[in-house]
Amino acid sequence: MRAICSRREFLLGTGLLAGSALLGACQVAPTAAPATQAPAATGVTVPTGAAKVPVLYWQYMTDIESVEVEILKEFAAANPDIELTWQWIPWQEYWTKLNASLAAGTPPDVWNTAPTYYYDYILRNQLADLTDLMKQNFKIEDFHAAALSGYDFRGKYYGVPRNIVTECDYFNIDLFEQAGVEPPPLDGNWTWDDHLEKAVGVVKFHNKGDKITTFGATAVMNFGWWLGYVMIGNGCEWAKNFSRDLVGMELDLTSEPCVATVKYMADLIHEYKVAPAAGEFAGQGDPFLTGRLAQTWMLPWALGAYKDAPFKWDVTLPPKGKAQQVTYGGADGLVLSQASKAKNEAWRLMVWLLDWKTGRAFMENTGSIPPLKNEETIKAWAAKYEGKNINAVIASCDIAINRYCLGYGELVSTITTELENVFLGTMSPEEGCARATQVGNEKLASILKQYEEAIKGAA
Amino acid sequence: MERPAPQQARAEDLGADSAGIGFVLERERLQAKRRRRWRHIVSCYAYLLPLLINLVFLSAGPVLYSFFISFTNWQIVLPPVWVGMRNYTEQLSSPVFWKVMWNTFYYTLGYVPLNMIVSLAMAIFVNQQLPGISFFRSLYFLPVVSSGVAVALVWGWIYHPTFGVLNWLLDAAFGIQGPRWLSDPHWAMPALVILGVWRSMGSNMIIFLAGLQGIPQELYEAARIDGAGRAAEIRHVTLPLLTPTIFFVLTMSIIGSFQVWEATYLLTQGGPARATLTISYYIYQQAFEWFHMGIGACLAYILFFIVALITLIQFRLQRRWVFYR
Repeated sequence: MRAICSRREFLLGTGLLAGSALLGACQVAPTAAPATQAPAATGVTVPTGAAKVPVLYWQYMTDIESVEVEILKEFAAANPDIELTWQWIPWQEYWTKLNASLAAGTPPDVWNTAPTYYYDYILRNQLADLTDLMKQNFKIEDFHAAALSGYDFRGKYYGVPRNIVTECDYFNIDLFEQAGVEPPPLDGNWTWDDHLEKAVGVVKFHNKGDKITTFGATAVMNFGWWLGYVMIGNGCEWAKNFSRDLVGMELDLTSEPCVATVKYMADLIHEYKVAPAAGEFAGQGDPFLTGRLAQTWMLPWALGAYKDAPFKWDVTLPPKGKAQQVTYGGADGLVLSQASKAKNEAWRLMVWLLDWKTGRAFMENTGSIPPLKNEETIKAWAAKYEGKNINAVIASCDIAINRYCLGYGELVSTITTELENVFLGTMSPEEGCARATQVGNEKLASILKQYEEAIKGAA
Repeated sequence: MERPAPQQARAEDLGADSAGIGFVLERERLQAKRRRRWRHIVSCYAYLLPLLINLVFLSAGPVLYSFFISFTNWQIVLPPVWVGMRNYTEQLSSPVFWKVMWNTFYYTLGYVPLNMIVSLAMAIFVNQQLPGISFFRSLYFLPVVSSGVAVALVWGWIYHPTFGVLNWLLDAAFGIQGPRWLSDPHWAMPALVILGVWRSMGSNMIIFLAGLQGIPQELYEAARIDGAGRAAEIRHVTLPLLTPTIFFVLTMSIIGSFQVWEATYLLTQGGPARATLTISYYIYQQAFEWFHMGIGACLAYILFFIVALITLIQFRLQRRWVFYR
């Protein structure tokens, strides 16, 4: 049979095809449409030349892609001198890809961040100092402390908060009514004893009485989340000389309020049997939404996630601790790469995303609270959630605390794993806290050593 | 009539000295052969080139580089800092590392024998000429081709202490109150073993089936004539002749069990209280959650040496129990 083409032609064709496919695969992001109007950020120069300046933006909140793409398109339309490209990368892959791009010298100009992964980039000199630009474009005092606190590093700002996320108590009104128990008070005037009483009252058992079908509360076992509002609320700080860069810091979870807090959470599972054990609902969606949980601690994303829940629900502040009423609170933010060749243009994008007028769709669709204390803005945002006790979510910003620091994820994971033995009932709270302190301090020293060594080596 | 070769015909036409011409022709023939051979080699390598590029730059290169990385403190974005044997000594003296190793061996000891027995039994069952047997073969193979995420989610529900079907069955059939499978440190690993066996038994069943079908029927007939029953047939004919297949499945299962990651990641994240933290997941945690690439690479090489050692021992021991026909 006669061949359709010679071997040489075949090889050449295959090579060309492979080359085109490779080139095609290298195209990573859509390019926004050109537009007509120039932006207005202070402290930056708007070029009027013909050549477009490329700006690359990375984001991890994949669930709001469609919303934010519209904001980005509007920015591109208003900034014809910028060639804006963007990429959405899920959280699980985001930091690996970001680190790889930084190592390769091709990081995005602007990326979305969280204080979980922030201080290490500052120490590695990979983030631009935004303190002056922030002062020129915003009033620092207009930012809510809950939003700003995580981004202040040694008196400078390398990132700008984009929202505030705080933890509040979300409760299923139907389940409380069915159990004949008064739901948590909307004014937030309640204690941890009240919390326990309500949880015990609302819990439902299987008809045999040996299994729980509806839990009354959750024992928050992720150390990073509950340390703020329970431990500190009960009058205890978990670290001596807390510092974001870990220098001089020492963990101590052995004080009486700390142990009492851990005991309270463990007792919710084992003693009072009102909360699910660790991992009981792993991989099975949110038990609150399926009516298996009467109340839960959630971030304001819940406002959007529970919107269409098939039951009545509302939200309130966490209970008052012995010392004060506090909650966990932090902020997602935007950072600008030190290696960016288009810092001015990148900053214009950041201002666009941060400004309520241009970036409000982000806040309105994610449930995250605007980071500025502007009354009008807050009012406009709250209107979106009419019918819910949104004032509690707003008020939670005033009592929000976070303890983000260098190597936070690793440190928190280590402490949480050690305390898990208490939540599993295999170790006493005293033992668990002592062990978590010892192992946590070893980890803290190890994180600090690793960073100091790497930075010294690079220098 | 046989047609003369072109060179021969030309030589005869010329009527030249046959020895001299013969030498020249032989040289030409050899050169042509050499050219053809070269062309053949070049075209072979041209076809292999994409794979070779992949092997050298994307596999062998990183493998060698990661060996260097295992002696450094490298957090990706800054240059690696040489720390010598520190990563190895720190890991080998860390209680977490030994807990991780114990978990990995525990998983292997549970998974490998169970997997071999179940998949061999299934292979013997489906190696029968029964109506609709192909359907069962496909059915048993289904978990292998199912999405890992979907499988983990379904098993998450099966294992649920209150609403899960497994505990319901235990209660209904035996009156036993089932454990908190995934949130009890004593039961989490057995739960992962069961899931692992269920997931991979189909692929091993197919390998065993191929081995079984390679056993000549005459041997079974001879055994039957000698009065062997079904059990004796399996013991004296099937198993000895299946030993090369058993050896292959055993080796691959042990290697696979040391690399268990998916179910751990999706169902337990190494918990509760590190009860399911296996070496592969620990490597992932160190390298891709905390970005300690040096420690991650060091753990990967420890895993490599362990797997290589076990495989080597297996190859040494197979001389004693594997029969090749």
